[in-house]
Amino acid sequence: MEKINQFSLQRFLLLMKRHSLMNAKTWLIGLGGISGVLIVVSLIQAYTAGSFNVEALSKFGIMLIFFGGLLITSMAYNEIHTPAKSQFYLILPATTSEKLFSHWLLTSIVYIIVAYAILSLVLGIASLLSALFFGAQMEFFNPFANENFMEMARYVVIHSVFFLGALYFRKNNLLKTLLTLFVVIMALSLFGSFVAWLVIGSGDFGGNLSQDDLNPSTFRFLTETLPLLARIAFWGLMAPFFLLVSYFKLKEREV
Amino acid sequence: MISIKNLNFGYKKNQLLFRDLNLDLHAGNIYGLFGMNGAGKTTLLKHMAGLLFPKTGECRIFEKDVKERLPEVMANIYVIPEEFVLPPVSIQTFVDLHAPFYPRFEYSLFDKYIKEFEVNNNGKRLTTYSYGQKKKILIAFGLATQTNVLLMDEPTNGLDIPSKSQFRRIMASVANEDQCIVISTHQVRDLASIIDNVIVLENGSIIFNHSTMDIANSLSFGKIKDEQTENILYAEEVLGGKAAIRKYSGHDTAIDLELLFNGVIKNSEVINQVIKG
Repeated sequence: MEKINQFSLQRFLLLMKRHSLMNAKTWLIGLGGISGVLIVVSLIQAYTAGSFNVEALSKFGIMLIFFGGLLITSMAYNEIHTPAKSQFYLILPATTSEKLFSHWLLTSIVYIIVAYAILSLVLGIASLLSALFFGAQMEFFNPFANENFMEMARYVVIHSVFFLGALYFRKNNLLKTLLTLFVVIMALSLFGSFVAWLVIGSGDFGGNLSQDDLNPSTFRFLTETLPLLARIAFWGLMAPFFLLVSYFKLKEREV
Repeated sequence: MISIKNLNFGYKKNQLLFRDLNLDLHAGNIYGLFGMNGAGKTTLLKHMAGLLFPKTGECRIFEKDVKERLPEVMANIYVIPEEFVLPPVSIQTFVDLHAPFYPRFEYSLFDKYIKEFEVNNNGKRLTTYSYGQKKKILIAFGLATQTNVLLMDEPTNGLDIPSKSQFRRIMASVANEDQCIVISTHQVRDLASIIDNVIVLENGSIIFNHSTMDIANSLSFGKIKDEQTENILYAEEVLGGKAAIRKYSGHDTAIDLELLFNGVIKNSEVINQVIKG
């Protein structure tokens, strides 16, 4: 293979720069909006309750960051869904993996790190304002807490599903991805219930498992092995699988 | 340089636009790709650029299947589409973001063409320029990439009369031995002076593919008298008489591309036979 056809860090960074500059306005408006909402909510809270509840505000902020991130992800491939724009993107001399991972990195890891940094800053400012105007005690958000790293990692995994949705669906891809997820989860739940019904029997299954209902090996499988497999599937397989499908989707993309 | 073999393609499952289409295009030429609306010109260009994939068959550039969109191939192709939406950034930002992908991009050439096209590069967003100005910016960028393959779809659409002259002047100056330029258009008069090969596409088939030299050596173009019928391959009413394509009679005439196109559409078999001798 020619060297030019191999992964190039220079092209990868150029693609990230291109994507950032072309979408900077949307991202700044989104992050500005989230920051504004957080400051206003924290000031209302400080005014009504006389305190600054950093835990509640950070949870609200993280929820906004998650939703904002998925919204940005769903728009990541807007360019490719408009024929008059997509031709410029598709003819760009870069490998499919460079094009894919530059988008992925920006909307997943870079986004979540920047968003958490902004959240820390905004909550710090909100805390200061609450203390200044309403005498609330100052509290600060710690982005380096373990649970925050877990939330970031969870975002990166869930992001991969919406990333594929952004490539797969041409219009309303956020809603379509959510609908697809809902249908898949419903189907899996029904299937799980059906399997449980087969294993336990219709008469005894009330939704809760106890050791008395099952033989020890089945109980161990359902309470230990199955959750372990689910964790492996979620943390280890889900993101690579959806990224691989996204790769082929992008590679086969025509105008 | 561009080799299309047994290309079959259709937008609908059972309705093929191209059936076993074969075409070889070589470096050092400017090809005029003509055809009526819906003939498949844009679709063919999109295949050459790897923007559409054949159902069967292949399109190769430098011996590489273009549908793979390998960087080494794509760094040597630039497409100036007829319909496009440019990003809301300034000319400078657009160039800064895209030029580094093209190893032979020449910034001074871009500035030269922008000046020649009289486009104001004053930091305005691309979205604020008129369609014609945007097209000029794209043409300037495409030429400055100095790619070996330059595909232009209706490049003179949206250009005013002086800009069309500027376009012809620039195109005449850029052609070189390493470059293969394909210009698709239905405005045949705009390009008569710059192309050196004529390809006519009709209903997804190539019905005519000859160099202007062969055409000029085999055919004569001009007005005829009403009663004149000798050696006439095609004739049509024009203001003040009839214009005709005749077998070459020893007198060199300028190729009337519009007349040739009409003649080829009406009677390609006879005209092809005469050119092939």
